[in-house]
Amino acid sequence: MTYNTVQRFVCVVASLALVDTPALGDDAFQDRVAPILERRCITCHNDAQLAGDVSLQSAAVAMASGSIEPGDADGSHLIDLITAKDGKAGMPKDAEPLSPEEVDLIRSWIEAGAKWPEDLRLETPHLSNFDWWSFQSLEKPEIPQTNDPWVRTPIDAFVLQQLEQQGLKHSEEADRRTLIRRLSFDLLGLPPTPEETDAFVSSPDPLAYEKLVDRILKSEHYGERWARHWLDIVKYADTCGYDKDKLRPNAWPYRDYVIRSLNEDKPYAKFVQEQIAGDELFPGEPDGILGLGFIAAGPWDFIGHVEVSESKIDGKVARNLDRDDMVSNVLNTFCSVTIQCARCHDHKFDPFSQQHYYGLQAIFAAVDRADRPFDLKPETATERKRFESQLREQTTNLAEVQREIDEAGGQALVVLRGQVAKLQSESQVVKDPEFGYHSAIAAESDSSKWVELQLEQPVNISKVALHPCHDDFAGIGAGFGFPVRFKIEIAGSDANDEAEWHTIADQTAEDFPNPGLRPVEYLCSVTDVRRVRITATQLAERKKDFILAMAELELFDADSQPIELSVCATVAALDSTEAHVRWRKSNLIDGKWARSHSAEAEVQLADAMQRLDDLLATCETPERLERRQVIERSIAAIEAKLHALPQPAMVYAATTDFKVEGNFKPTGGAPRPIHVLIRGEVERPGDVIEPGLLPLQAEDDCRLGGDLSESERRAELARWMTQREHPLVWRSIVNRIWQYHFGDGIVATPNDFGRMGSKPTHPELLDWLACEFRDNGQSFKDLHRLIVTSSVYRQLSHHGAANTAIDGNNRYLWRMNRRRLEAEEIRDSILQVSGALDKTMGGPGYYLFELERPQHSPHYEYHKFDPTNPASHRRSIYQFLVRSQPNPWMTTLDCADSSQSTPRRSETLTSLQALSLLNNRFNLVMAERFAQRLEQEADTLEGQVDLAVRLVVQRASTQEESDELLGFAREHGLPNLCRFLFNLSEFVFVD
Amino acid sequence: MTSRREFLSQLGSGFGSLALAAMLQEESRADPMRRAQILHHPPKAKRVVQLFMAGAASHLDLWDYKPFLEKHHGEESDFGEHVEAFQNGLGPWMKSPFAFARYGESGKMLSEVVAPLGECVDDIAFIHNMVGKTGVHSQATYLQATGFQRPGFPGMGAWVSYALGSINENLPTFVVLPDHRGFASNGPKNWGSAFLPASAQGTTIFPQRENPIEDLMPQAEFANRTSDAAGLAMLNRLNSRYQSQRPSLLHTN
Repeated sequence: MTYNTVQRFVCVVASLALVDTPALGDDAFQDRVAPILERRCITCHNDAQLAGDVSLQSAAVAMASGSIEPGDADGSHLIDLITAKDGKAGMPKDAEPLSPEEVDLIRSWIEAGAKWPEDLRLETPHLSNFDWWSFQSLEKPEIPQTNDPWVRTPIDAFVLQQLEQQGLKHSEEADRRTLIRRLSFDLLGLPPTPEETDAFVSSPDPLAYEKLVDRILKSEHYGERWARHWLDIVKYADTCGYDKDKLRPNAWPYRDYVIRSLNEDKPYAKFVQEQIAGDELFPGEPDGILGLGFIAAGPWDFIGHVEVSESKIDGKVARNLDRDDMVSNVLNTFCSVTIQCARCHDHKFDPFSQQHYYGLQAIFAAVDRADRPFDLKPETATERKRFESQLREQTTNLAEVQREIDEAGGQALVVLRGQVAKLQSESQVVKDPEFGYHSAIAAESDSSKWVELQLEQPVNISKVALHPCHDDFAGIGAGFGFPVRFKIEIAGSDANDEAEWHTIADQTAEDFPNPGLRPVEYLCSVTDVRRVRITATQLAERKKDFILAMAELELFDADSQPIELSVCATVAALDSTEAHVRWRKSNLIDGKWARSHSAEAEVQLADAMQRLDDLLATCETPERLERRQVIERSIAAIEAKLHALPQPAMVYAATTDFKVEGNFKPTGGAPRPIHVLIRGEVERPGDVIEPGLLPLQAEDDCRLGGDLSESERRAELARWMTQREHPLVWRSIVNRIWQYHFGDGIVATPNDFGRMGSKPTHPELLDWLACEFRDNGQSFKDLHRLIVTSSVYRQLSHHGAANTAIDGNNRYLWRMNRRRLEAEEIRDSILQVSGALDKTMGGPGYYLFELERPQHSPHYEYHKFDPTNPASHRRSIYQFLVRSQPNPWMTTLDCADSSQSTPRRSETLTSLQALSLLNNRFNLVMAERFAQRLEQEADTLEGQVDLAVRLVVQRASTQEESDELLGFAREHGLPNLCRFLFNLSEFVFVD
Repeated sequence: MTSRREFLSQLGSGFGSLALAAMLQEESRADPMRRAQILHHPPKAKRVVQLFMAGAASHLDLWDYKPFLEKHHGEESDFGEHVEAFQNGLGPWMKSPFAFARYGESGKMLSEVVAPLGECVDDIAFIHNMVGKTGVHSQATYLQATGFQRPGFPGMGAWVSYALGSINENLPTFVVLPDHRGFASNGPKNWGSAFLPASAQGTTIFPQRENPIEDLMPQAEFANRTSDAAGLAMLNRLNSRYQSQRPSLLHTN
């Protein structure tokens, strides 16, 4: 049964007047008590959170908690807890106690038997409450009618209406020098050149401003400026953050993708879709993969992923937080929803439950952040796909031939294979660290090697036994180094007389099969033996080279007893690899050799293998072998073609397929099971949850099927996010763009359109802009044009006493906001006016530090960097961003912290900033560079000073300024003057 | 020595004077009367020194005496709940290899390795019930530095300097002296201001470097005391002119 909380709320207010009546009707609980519990108790005491192991969500669990004794209010622990003493009560925790009337109501209800309908389940009231501005459907408002000539655009009409309502008067239009400076910084992040400024200021064209806007919007520097805003929001950096803070050498293609997408004016829906599910929605398009850099842009814990297994608590925590970052990045960025608040409990203010939150985690349950290859050209991607499909087909064909062979072998083949596998798995090897004797390595198999026993006293022997070695080297195992062809000879004396030698075993004419671990024995009956020699005439293969190895050489006396050779013999050899303790000559008679756990099993295994070979020979018919060969050749050919394709490019992005690194393993696309985590704790998993979207109204069933593939899940999210009716997405993006133009958004909290965020100052304007943007190509550039050509935007940024008295914070935009340049703008402007700026676009980020020990824990040594290095004289968006250690100079000037989403920069004024701009080595180097430029471009000091002012503040200097600056330059030099010019308020502020 | 106020006044009405205005605001915040209005509990402490030693000796061997371990030394360990170590395998209980004894009037148990602390042990508050939530270094270091297990939050010093301001106008409020051998996990993020204004960030001092405080003095041949004084005076005049034309400048920030 669904419980209508709004109605219930009305009832409780009404009931307060009726507390005197103790007789409670049957509906008393539903109408009066339940609303109190919903409002004050079940945020914590619900089935998921179980704070204090108590839930008040349904009758069954509430009564089981033991805190309610039906019919006995005094005996009910609940009453003790909620009754206030000295204005304080045990519950609700850390909050105002319940009113005496409310307590009395609960008391009466318990006294009356605590009747609670079985099927009545309580819910926190806000979870169904979509009565909030940002959830209202998006409809295009009428533009206010006005004849005021100030109104140039619909924006002006909306703003003017509010100004008039507030009794405010708009400001005059700024002069052209102010306007070109404002536009240039706003859209490009760079100051206009003196030439551009002069041309605009002196243009007689009445449409000069509109033409300037068009020209600026065509500049490629536009993407560089506005991509920075986007990267602030999505937490982009070129390192992982956390401990070690390792480099992400392939993060930059995503940064370049953003710049390019903005310059190409990609429709917003496509921009959103590429970043969430480009691989699924735009297969073959490079931007479909590049966009996925968005999901991977935030911090990543190397140790929690690579060094800790996913099965351990810390590993689970790391992966949970990793998905949390993905989910919050998507929802904060595109929807301005603070969904991360619902990780440990239902959202306290907005209608989103923990189930909704984990439903979103389930969408990202299969992806991780890693380098992802992609083809730069769609044609290559198509070809790669085709070859891969052919490869799959031929692999299937190969399996088919194999299946035919197996079928021909029938049950016998299955049985034999089973036997061999079983025997192999059972054949445990027992061996000591002393493996045996090992000759030197030979390049050819037919090199001859010998090893021999020399006895102190002559002995009589009845048997010679050779024990093979066991070594896992090159996967060889049993029979390692056992000669393929050999002979055994004996001699009666120690004289080097060839005639003395008698061959007792000759295996030189035919290959000897690998004996495994079985001893190779030769019976004989010889007396007075002093030497026994084994000569290999064909060596065993090791790994593309050849050796002779032997674990033990045993001799048996006339009574068939083994002779204890270690005390009466020595070993000699042509050569030997002495690698103690595994290999040495003396190991040949140390009584230690590798044995199979069971000698019998060895015999069985050899026998089974022989029978298997015989059977296979009948199944592998020439026709089948021929077919198999053809397929194998075809596979090789396809692989060669794949290899010949242009090398794929790489981007650090969301992926399900990457190289294993320690415990960091790809899912291969299989989503990890996602549980609702009670209180957000990985050790308290609740129900498994299927992927889901967020509800946008009370009746929304936002679950997606659990059988969707992982990329289909993301595609569903992307489609949902870009649907025309979405109340959040379109408002969110136009609000962001507005904010970057004016300093404040129409909604002051760009990442939070929920109840903890601000309300829009101009709700109708926001909706009008959102519809206009959505329905007309979703073009950022059109929206910029609309905004910057408005009269609102062109106003002076001056002070006005009357307006200030009413609206000191300029919420209603009666003037333009003055602002300090952002860190990147200051740096780029210094580079530009100094003539040092290298405008090359794109590519890997340049370092502003010396990188030390990059393999383990990279050290980023900013103080060791030489700011004269021209590689670093490119725009700031291209610098390599170290997440844990951003450039201190930039940090001092309020650059974004890439550990968190920065939807709006703070603008501080500190003494450290003044010191940085005066004394930082970058500023000092650029002051000298600026001076050199001035000397090259102007002959006289007067001319140099004049040019300097034009470059720095885009206007001519006054006589007074000119005198002051010239005087200083004469006395203290041009570089010193340039250094102080970087500290002019007029340089770092835009009117 | 020039005070920070004088120094900033010399900077003129430009960036420096704006900084001065910010500082004056800080002062008003640090003013005891005003502070009392803002804060529930007026602060008593004048300074906080936090020493963080990643990988230091175990508290069990210093001042966290565990009689249970003495009693059960060598027995198989049992925590009564599921416990995971960063590396696998939990050994038996092990007592501290150092001898503990009582010190001071409080009778605080200290191990022999910190015995000299016994002389002032009654002046020290020990907090023995701190717990972490993770065995991963970077997360745990964030937790002690910022109160959160993940990046993106201001360090304790940033909070203190943001909320309480400074009572010393000549020196920065929040100073950091990093280990000269290298940063702990997370590096400067342990003392970053995150979403607080940059004014709350720590001023880092590297005593071992040639230039211990970055940007305090110009490292260039063309800059000297005379040129700096003249330059600041010039900047003062130029920036006051700019500012006088824009009376709202301070208000916009």
